[in-house]
Amino acid sequence: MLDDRLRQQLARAAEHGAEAARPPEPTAIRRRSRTRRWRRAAAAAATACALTGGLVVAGIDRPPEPAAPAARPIGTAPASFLAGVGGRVAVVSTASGKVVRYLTQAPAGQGQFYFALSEDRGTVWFSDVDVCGHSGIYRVSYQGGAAVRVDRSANAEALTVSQDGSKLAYRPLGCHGGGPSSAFAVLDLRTGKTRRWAYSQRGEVLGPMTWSPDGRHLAYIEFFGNGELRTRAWLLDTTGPGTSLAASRPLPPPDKGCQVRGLAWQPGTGRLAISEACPTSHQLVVVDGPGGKVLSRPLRVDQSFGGLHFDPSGRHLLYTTGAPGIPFSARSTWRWDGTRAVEIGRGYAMPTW
Amino acid sequence: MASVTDDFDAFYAASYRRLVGQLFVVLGDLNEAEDVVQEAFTRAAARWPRVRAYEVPEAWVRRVALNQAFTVLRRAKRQLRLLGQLAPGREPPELPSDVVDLLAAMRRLPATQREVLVLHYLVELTLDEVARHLRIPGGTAKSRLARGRRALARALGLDDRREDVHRA
Repeated sequence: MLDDRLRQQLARAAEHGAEAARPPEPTAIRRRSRTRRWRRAAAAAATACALTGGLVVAGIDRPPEPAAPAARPIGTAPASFLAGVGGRVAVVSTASGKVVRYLTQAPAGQGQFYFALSEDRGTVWFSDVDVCGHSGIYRVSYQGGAAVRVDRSANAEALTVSQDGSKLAYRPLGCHGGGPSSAFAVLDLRTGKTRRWAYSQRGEVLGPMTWSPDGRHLAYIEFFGNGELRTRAWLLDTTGPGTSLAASRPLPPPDKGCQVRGLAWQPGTGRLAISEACPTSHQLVVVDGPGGKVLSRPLRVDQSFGGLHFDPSGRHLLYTTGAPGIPFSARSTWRWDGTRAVEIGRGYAMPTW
Repeated sequence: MASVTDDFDAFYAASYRRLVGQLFVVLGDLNEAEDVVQEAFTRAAARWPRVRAYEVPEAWVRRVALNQAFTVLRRAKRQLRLLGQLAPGREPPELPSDVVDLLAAMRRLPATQREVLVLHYLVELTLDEVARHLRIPGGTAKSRLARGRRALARALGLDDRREDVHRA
């Protein structure tokens, strides 16, 4: 029995360590390895030169120093985030909650509520939602400037860009009350080609979605049920052969009595954060990747969660709270660093970083 | 087909936290645990085509990380001897009290006993496997486990009266 107790206690301590670990991106590890190899080679070459009486080469084609890969991700939140303010896409200061600059003009349609930010925080994609399809998807620099239309045909919502910046997923919108012909579309930003997935026979009603870190899977929420609205989360392999949502597989169901509200894949870890609305509280659940076990429930809030977004380091989460159905203007936006949540302000639509 | 890079990234993503958890128990300090695990992965990346061919690449990385951990502990011991005092390892915030007690008890054990305890109880290796992993005789592994187990049980106030260590 003592063995079991020790095993349990050691496992518990290890779980705490594993949970608190902040893995740097694998590219940082590989870069460190390459730099070290180069330094060894350079030292060996210098030694050989010295031993043979040759000149020590001063002008070795030195590879650039790595861009200071931190041993652990930087511990500060991004200084600004994107949000819809007055129907326009705006850059908002994380510290003050004030608009730093607007990236778009006054909306032509209903407003620019849907946008995505590249991981290098250089490019913003947004759609100008117009029910009758005269709109499209645009690209604009995070620093501002003229917007460029990248897809004329798309009238899109729920834009989300893959972490490597190569793919933009969105939901096509219908026109004149008719449903869109496809459920999801993925625009390859390198080739300009678009791949579409049709609804399955269930005719799904879809909610937020998020890319997996490898840019292969899309996790999304489906609303269903007669009377009481219920939700479930699915996973779609966008590299698979299927052309409809029937190819999706279900993610683990939420806790009993809870409904899934938001999804965000944590960069660098492969973990998926899921916000759930439960009968007595609202919680954030972290699962170990698709189909994985629940690792923790690190955050509980009083009001229903809205969107969830991790920053590129995966350490800071941006989210909104508010009673279901209330307008954006009444919702609160928060940032959370894993230990404490700080309210930034109210009135931002779809805050993203 | 996955590239060598993808292969390493997937291995890294799957193993990093598990190894940090194990080294955290050995070292009692999260920063040091992450440092030694990152160092081990850096070395694995340098020789990945060879390491990936091993039956259990994670065991290789763990072995390197444990060696690094010993270096860290030796350095701390030398500092202790030189300075006459050593600041206690920084404990991560918000650990439950029983975990803090366990880490403190582990820190009081010799490093050789800690690694046997971790390999046996956490990694779930048999004593034979522990001995092979550490390249020590089976009897040495068994005695280190028994001593470590006894000391840990005493420090945690657990009952250690039981049959002898039997998993061999």
